[in-house]
Amino acid sequence: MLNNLSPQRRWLLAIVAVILVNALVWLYGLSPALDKIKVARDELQTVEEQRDSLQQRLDQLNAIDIDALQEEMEHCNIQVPEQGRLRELITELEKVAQGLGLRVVELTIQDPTDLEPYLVTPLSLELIGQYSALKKYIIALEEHERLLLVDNFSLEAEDSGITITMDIVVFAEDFDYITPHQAPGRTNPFEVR
Amino acid sequence: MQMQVNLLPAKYQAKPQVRLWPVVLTLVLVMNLIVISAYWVFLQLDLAKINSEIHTLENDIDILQRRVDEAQWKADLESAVAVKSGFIETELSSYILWNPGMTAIERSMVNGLFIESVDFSSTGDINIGGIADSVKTAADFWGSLHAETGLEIIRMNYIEPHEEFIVTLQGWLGREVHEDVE
Repeated sequence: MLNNLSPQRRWLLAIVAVILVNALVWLYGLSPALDKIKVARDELQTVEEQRDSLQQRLDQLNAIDIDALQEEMEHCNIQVPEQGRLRELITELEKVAQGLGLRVVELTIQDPTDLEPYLVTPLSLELIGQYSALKKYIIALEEHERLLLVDNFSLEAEDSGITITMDIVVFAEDFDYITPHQAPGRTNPFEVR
Repeated sequence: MQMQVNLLPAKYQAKPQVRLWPVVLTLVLVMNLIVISAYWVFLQLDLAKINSEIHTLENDIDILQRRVDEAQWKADLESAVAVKSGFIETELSSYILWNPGMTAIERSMVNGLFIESVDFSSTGDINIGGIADSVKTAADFWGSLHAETGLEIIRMNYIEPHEEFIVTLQGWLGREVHEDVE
């Protein structure tokens, strides 16, 4: 049948056949492969970005000066400790007062309240002694390694000396930590000893 | 019926005319097939290479992720330090430093006057009560408080010579008072 066609028609038919074959090959062979490659390249790019991001994050983490941070954290933990240690604190407050020749007349401890993200406990103190010692006591509180903030105070002259009444606040992450003390005990608790 | 018989030997017989187009068509198709096949192979190799790279990268990512997870505590520590130090700074700045105020009052003292009570309130007000032997003595003390504290608002509320005076300082923030060189 092809022999009956003129040469021009044969060439035309040949060109059409070639184009048709190429179209089919493109449609069912190359185009899906190219699509797969495009998807794979997109995935590769995503994975590369993820890798770069992680590498950047790791570099940032490795660049952190851990020694300095730990040192700063230790300092911060002294100022605002994890455990309130109120028993130790009030003992120290009295010890400092006695060291300056002051007498603790009264000490009131209120319940801790939230001060996000930590807790704050207000204390009220009344002491009596000489003015210079009271001033040193205020300075000792303000310069204490633990964060003791003097909210207010008043000084009043009396016959036996100067009385100071002050409200201070202390901070901690937890004030309910138990710090046990081993007592000798007594069979008669009403006995004065 | 006539019948033609070519009696010439085969090598002298006329050869049939070679048809060019099937040859060309075949060549074009073969070439086309080769090129397409080569391109397809190239694409497959490229795809395999990309998939291999992805696999390698995923392994790298797994390793990196583990290392990041292991180092995460550093970021947590950094964050905890920032929170705590920020809290401490905020609290320190919101409270008043009182001892320089006491020093300023000491330096403001004048003869003929003594203090009976001082109230340092959390608002920054300082109320001083005492006894002065004259209005002038109380007024001198008022002026010296101005000089020593630098506060703008200091009010002398009440003076009764030999009995009582009351003076109020407002807005004490804990500024440092320079020490005198003795």
